Amino acid sequence: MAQNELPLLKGTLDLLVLKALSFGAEHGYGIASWLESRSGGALWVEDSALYQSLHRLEARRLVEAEWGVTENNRRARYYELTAEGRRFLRSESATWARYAKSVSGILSLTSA
Amino acid sequence: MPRDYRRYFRLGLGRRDAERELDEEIEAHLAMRTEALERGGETPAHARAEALRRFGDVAEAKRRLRASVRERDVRLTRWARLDGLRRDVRHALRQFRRAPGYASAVVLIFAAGIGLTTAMYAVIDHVLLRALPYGQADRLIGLLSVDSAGNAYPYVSMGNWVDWRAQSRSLAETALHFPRSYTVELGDETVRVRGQAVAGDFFAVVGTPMVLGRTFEPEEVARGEGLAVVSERFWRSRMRATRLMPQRLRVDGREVQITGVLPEGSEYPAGTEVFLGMPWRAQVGVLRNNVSWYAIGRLASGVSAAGARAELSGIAARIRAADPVALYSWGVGVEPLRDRVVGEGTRSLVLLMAGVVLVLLIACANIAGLSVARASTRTQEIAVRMALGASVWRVRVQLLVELLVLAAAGGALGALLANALTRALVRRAAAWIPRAHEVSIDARILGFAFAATVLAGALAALAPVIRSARLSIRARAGAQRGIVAGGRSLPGAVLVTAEVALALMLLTAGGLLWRSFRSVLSQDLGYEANVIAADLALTPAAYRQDRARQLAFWDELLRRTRELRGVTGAGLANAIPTGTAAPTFIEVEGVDVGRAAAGYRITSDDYFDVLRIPLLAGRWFDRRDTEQGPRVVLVNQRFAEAFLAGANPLGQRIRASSSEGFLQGNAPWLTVIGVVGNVRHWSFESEPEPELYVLHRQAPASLAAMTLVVRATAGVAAALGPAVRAEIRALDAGVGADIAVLNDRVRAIVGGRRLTMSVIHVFAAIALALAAIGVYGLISFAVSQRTRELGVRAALGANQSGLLRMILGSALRILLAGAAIGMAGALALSQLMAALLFGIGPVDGVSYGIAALVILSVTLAAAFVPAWRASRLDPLISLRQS
Repeated sequence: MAQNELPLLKGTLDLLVLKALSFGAEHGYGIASWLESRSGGALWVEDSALYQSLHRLEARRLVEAEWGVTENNRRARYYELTAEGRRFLRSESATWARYAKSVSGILSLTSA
Repeated sequence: MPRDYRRYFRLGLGRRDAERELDEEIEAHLAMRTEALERGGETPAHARAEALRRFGDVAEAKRRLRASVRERDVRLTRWARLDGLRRDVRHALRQFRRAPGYASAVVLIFAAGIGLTTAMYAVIDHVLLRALPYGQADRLIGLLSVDSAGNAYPYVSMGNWVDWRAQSRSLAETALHFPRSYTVELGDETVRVRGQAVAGDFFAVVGTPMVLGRTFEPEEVARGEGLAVVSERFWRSRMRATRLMPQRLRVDGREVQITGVLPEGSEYPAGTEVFLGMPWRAQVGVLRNNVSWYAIGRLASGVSAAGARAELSGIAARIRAADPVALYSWGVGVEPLRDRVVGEGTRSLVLLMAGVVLVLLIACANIAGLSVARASTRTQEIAVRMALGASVWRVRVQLLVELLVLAAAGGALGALLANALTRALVRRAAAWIPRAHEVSIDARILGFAFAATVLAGALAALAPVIRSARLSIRARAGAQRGIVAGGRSLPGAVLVTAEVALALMLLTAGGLLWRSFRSVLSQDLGYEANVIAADLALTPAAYRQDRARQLAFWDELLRRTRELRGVTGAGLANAIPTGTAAPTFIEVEGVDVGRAAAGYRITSDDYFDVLRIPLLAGRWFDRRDTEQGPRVVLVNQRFAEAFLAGANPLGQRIRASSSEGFLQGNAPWLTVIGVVGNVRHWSFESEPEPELYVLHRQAPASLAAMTLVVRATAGVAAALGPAVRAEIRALDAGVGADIAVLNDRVRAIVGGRRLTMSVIHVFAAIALALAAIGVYGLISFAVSQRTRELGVRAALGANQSGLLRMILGSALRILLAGAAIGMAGALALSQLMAALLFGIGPVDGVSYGIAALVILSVTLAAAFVPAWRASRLDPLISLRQS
């Protein structure tokens, strides 16, 4: 498993977490499973890093947290995007897309 | 939505709870992953190990996250508070949009209360609390003479002062001054201005740097140079603000040089336009007893007022030892100069401040009453909010914030009002308030307004906040309006009781002042003031030392004036009522009267007729009393009783020893030819003093400054001023004149008293109106809450007048309680104003009775309106309504 896992670029995790939350409030484990399933296991995120990201985002008021109850009646801390977080996600996604496009554009140049 | 509310009402957790939360969160995460792995077929032990592996270093993660959790907690606490406040303010603003009538009423009442209080405080602060606008004002003192009886007088003799100045080490500088009216010639215009003759280190004492030019030194004045300093106002308005110094000016017919300009606002005494240097010299014998100067000084550094008093009193004792006739050298008094400037205004100002605070309290009670009534109708809203997790505390903060927001609006409006009020005051009442021209709204006053706003808002919120606890209990119990609302305790009854009590205090104060004012005005002045008075000074050099010429001028002026249309009489005096007069020591032939003193007045024959002063015995001055003939004198009744009792006063001989003595060495004997009525020269309130009148053509003194009094047939008097001025100008254009209607000056004497009374009356009227509004609001609210009950009663056969009586009865209980408390308060307040009362005691039954009657009838009328309306309700409608 370890061989095809990609280390995450700095700052990218925050963006992915915000994206995960854009579908609705979710707890930390939910976000982790979502990331694993969406990336098909390609992205390697240590859970502790995920929580650091969540706390970071909370400090920047991009997300806010609230205790809630899971389907299995377990108490969990649910995170939710704030309006600001939503705005941030929109603008950063656009930036990221431009960045990724230019990087991959350059990498795909063939020596003519 | 609920989640939002929970977050809204949650504050920070505290560090320990925050860390526990973190542990819980991580544990939940691990548990969930373990469960998921187990569902995928792993063994429990293996699943747990895998979950831990995926998490990474748990201990390290916790250590890192803890720090951020702690930060978050602090942040959350702070943020929640701020955010809560922001929401409260927004909520408050929404409330006002929902109830604009309530909001604007509260804002206006706040504005009135805060505005009045701030304006009053601006006056108090500038007049009483701040230092005088002179350099190192706390070291400035006024000096007083002390006589053998220990009486202190605010005027001193030049002789004594010269010795004080020469010998004292405790005074850094000292100066004399004497108020004068100067005739100033500027181009071809001759004007009379307020001036001061100054001696010694006058400008060093006052200590303000000149705007332009320089001051002058005592040595220059001693050399005989005519030197003057003028006020900035004089310099701007009369001299077109020329930068050229020195400037030449003619003052009282004499050439003087203006050396400098004093900055605006730093003239002492306030309002002085020209300060003229005056030479001085030591004086002994009777001259030492000429106490007509004001002395001021600046304490040397490190010397206290008591120290200066002790040292100067030692000097005074030495003067007395060397010059036994020194009558005013039994000590020297020292008072802060501010006391001299502010004087008796203090008492009125303190009373007015107390009055305005009462108004503010009533305003707060009134607002609290409105707010309580409103809060009671908001039980539903509060119930909802508490169901959503708001604590009692939150609801209270909400109510407080609501009132503070309203108070802030009222305070801003109030500051504007205070600004307008102080401006109006400076314009209208400057004559009766010392330092009034200094009064303005500045940062310090705005600070006060801010504090008053917060305090008033908090005070007004007190009652609704306390009541909210009861409301919230009801809210928890799910109580609906109408079920409990018919309860016995009327919300705000206490507030209305307080309002009635406070208003009664103000009404009583107003009544006491009014009754005092009546009794002041009912005092017999002893003369009729409906005459024209023209102060004249024969300043042109031609008159100096020439008595014959002076007399000729006065006789010609009297002759011409009498010929004016409508004039029925004209007379002269050196000093008329409301003005100054030099007292003289007297001697009575064959009787030892000790150091008795009496007012010394120089008049023409017709003076008494013009002022309608009656002759009680003997005869008037007439043609027999020629310039060279035997000296005659009229005395007033008081004089006769005090000094000539036991014998027929007519024919007795007296001497005006100090007034006439210093001119001729020994004063001549004067034969009493008549006794005239007493005159209250100074004020309505002072008792008449013993006085003597000598005939102008026989008096040895200079007649350079006299006052012409003119009586005319009704309706002409006011228009006569210009005609009299024209005659004076025709006679000698160089003679300046100050013309006024004597009645105006008399009115000005009671102006301060009238002003105090009027302001208290305004306060009382506002208080009364607020109390009436409070009662009206309370009763309206009470009957609206009891609609159902009243309907039931009506349906069961209670008649209208019975219902009316029942409602009014409950109102009357509140009003009577308020009146009783108010009476006690009024007694306390009247002690504060005892010094302002005249002719009545602080416990004046009439004032208290009238005040109680007014408050009870007005508030009962206010209660009657809603009560009457309620008693006429159709029972069917009122039952359906609830």
